[in-house]
Amino acid sequence: MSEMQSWHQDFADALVGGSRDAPSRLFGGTPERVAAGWRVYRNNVAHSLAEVLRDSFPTVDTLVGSDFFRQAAHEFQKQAMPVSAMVWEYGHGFADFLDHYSEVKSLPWLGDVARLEFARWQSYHGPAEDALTPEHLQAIPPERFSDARFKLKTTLSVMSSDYPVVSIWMEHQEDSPDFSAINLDVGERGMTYRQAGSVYTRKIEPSLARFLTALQAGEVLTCASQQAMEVCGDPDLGGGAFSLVGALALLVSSELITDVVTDAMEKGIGE
Amino acid sequence: MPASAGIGAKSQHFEALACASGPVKWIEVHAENYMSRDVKPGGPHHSWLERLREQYPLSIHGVGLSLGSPEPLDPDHLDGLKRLVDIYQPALVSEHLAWSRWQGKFFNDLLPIPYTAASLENFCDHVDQTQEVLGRQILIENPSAYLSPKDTEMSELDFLSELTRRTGCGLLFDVNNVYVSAKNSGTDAAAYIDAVPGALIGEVHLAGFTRDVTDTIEILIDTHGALVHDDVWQLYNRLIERVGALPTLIEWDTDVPEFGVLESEAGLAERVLGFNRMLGSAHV
Amino acid sequence: MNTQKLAVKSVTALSVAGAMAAAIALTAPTAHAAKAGMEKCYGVAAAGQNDCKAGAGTTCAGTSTVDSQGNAWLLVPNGTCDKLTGGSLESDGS
Repeated sequence: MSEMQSWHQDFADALVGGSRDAPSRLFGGTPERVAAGWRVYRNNVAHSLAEVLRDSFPTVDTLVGSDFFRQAAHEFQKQAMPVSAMVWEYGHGFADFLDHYSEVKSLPWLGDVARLEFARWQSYHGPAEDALTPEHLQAIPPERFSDARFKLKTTLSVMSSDYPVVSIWMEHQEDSPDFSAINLDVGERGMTYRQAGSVYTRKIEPSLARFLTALQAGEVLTCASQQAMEVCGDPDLGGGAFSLVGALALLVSSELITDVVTDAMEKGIGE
Repeated sequence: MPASAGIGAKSQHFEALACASGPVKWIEVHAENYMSRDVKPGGPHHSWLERLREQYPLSIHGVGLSLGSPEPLDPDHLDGLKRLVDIYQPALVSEHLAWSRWQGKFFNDLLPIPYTAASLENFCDHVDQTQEVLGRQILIENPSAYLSPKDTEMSELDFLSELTRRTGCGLLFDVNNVYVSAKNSGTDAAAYIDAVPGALIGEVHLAGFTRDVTDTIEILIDTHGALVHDDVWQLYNRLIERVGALPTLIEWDTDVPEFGVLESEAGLAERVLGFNRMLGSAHV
Repeated sequence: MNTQKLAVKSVTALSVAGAMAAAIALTAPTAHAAKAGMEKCYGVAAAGQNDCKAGAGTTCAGTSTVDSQGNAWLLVPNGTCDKLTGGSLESDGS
């Protein structure tokens, strides 16, 4: 390692290391002056990364309170520094971190709230994708749809939680959250997607969640709807109702279908 | 880029910018907030930038390429920056005389380097590489310093001048950073302002700082969270009087105020610029 | 076309085909309305939508807010979570 490289190594180690002492050998000035300047750099790193997480997870921040959030962010930072300057990606592992963070053991749903918030963030920053218009879809002979596979936007995500995380999140989008109707023992499914420059999250039936995940996994339409029906018939899987017309109407109106591929066509209609 | 006032475009002001017809004549965005791993980046940030781009000349300001690190530049980062520059064709592209990455960790801060022959060579290599990949000139910004690396062999201005000579890059001259660094290191800001070659400057930055006093030691912190200080306005005036009108950006990144506050700061810069443009034409 | 294959799952296939046709007919006008542009993100927000704000962005500025990085204190969650029924705030004592 060159002299210049070891200078950077020493700087980096001290910047995020356990000791708050300034690496005085690296800088000129009195010990007091070096300590004061060093505090600024160390603080810039710790504070800016905590703020990046706070901006990415505003609902988690409100749920646990600002001081606690900062403490959690610092714990997270000890485990994971950003690997990229695209700091919106930094929150990638935060939900997993919260799942195992002993200080929030009493809030077992917190990790899933973070997961939902990060899914929204990924949807927000995801690529530009063109959806098939109703005219495109109308041009496909209807009988072909039974064997068709849909390609859905990558900015669509479906989540399933043992806790009512969509409701918890939604209550925080109001000025004054009202949690009276939320039962923490009831799990929820949610979908997040982007349309016309906005990111939407909605609570969905377990059957619709299954339908969407099956389509995302590349199942043909008939098979995906059968899986959704199975969920309806089985209370353990969530029960509820499933309307195929409703589900398809949601996909079309939310502009989520980017391509329709049938075995006969192989190549997609949209290509 | 017009020799007039611009502001850093924050997302809370996108709509106001789209409707504005005041002193703000151009905008700057941080490259990293728009960079993506996708070949076809999308989403609200990009929709807005496309729209504002039609209305305003654009400057793309990188904050995380880490040109000062003595290790290869992050190829993904460079690719992302190139894609962005190719899409938006900005009037100006800039980065910092700083480092922020080392051995796979990104520190999200602009950290100082010692000004030595070796660090200059390393920095020049990285600027050369960046300009080659982007296929255009970039500007390099003087940083705010809170400490002085011990092994420094030359002044910041000598380092920057030699950098521009060797690579053909220009300067993004941040007057507030000059003031903050000078106060923090006990050097003379006015002397720096008077010595910088005007011909090298492609853009000027102005911002507010915060005074921090701990155990009787005062440090100025470049927070971009306050009005431009009177002393900094004076230095700015001194610079523009000497070198003429230059594209000047008001930066505000923390506790971002109402759009009107930024417009009024831009208006103050425009007054200095307009006066000197008039003088300039009167001299001709 | 393989008529035998079609016969085996004709009910589902027909219902899927019909459902798709119905879905398109049902949503054609909505899909067009959704293209109204991004002005809509500053209008009345639909349920479950709260973007159009800053989000995690970079800054090239320093900060004066002092962020204690030590472990001199250990806080407990003190936000809205205590309003959630069953959201116990009991510390595990660690």
